[in-house]
Amino acid sequence: MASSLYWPDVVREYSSQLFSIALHTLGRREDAEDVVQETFLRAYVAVERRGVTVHTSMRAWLARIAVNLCYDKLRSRGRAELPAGSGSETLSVLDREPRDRQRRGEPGPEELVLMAETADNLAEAVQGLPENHRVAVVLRYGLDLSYREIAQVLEVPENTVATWLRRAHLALRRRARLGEDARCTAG
Amino acid sequence: MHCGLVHTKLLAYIDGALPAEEESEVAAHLAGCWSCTQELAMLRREAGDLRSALSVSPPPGLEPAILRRIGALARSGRAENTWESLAGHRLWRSVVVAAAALALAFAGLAVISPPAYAMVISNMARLGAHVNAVASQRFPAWAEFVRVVESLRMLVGI
Repeated sequence: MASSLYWPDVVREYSSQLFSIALHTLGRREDAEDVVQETFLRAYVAVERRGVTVHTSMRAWLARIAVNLCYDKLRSRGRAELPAGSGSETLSVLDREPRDRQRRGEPGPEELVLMAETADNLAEAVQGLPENHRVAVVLRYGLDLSYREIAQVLEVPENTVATWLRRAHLALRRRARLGEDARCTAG
Repeated sequence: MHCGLVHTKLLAYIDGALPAEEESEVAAHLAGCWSCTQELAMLRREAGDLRSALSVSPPPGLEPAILRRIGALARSGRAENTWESLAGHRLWRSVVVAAAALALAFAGLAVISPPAYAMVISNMARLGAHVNAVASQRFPAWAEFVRVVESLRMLVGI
């Protein structure tokens, strides 16, 4: 059964966002690449071979496939949670989108390094969040999904999504304060 | 609504995820509360920082690799569909199964009882001749076709 989807466009539009989900959920580039490829292949087979119709948004549907694959990977690694900071070697300033640096108004080299450090620290801190909170944060800020869409992807009520996101913010804030305190003590 | 409760709802308020009634209550509270307004600003800043921190570029080879694999799937899918349309056709499958069963039955009969096999063959030949005679009477084109086949058979010497 042929669909009206033009897959090169679908891949171009969503591969970056799905890579972000997978990378920040799993913390390893190779695993993230595997998950993104597998996500598109499963989506293709579902739509083109099994005639599945996507009722939710394509983005949320693909995110759901990707998140489930990420959970499978985490389970196959034999650990439910990633230890804090385990992704530091995988998330570098070089990965950051140039447009996000430009968004802040062409900063100078020193400012750029400082900002990159902050972003790297923040991405690393996200890796240290509990799995559910981490995935909710990645879906909200990495993929810009609404609470309703996140609730559909994770199959939980919207209130739970709101609670996870709020707790994630508080945890990240606590961690940032701890980091500042540590730097002050060291200085 | 007191500050503690408003703090728990501010993130959902920023994200437009509160029910309309709660949204108005939070907005009304914010209009007169400096502390909650500060918290709101901080959450907005954190959300912006998170968006930047979580935005990554995929490796350049990722998209082409995905498209190659989808292309391979599409090609294998077309081959499967062609085979399915031939082998999966119900009538075609029934004819093949019936012919195979008939051939097997004849072979079995020839091995088990050659006289019975000879009788069946002779009866079938007689039945064929009868059908041919009736068809030739009713359909002149059929009689002409049989005559041409007979001539060709004699010509080839079968």
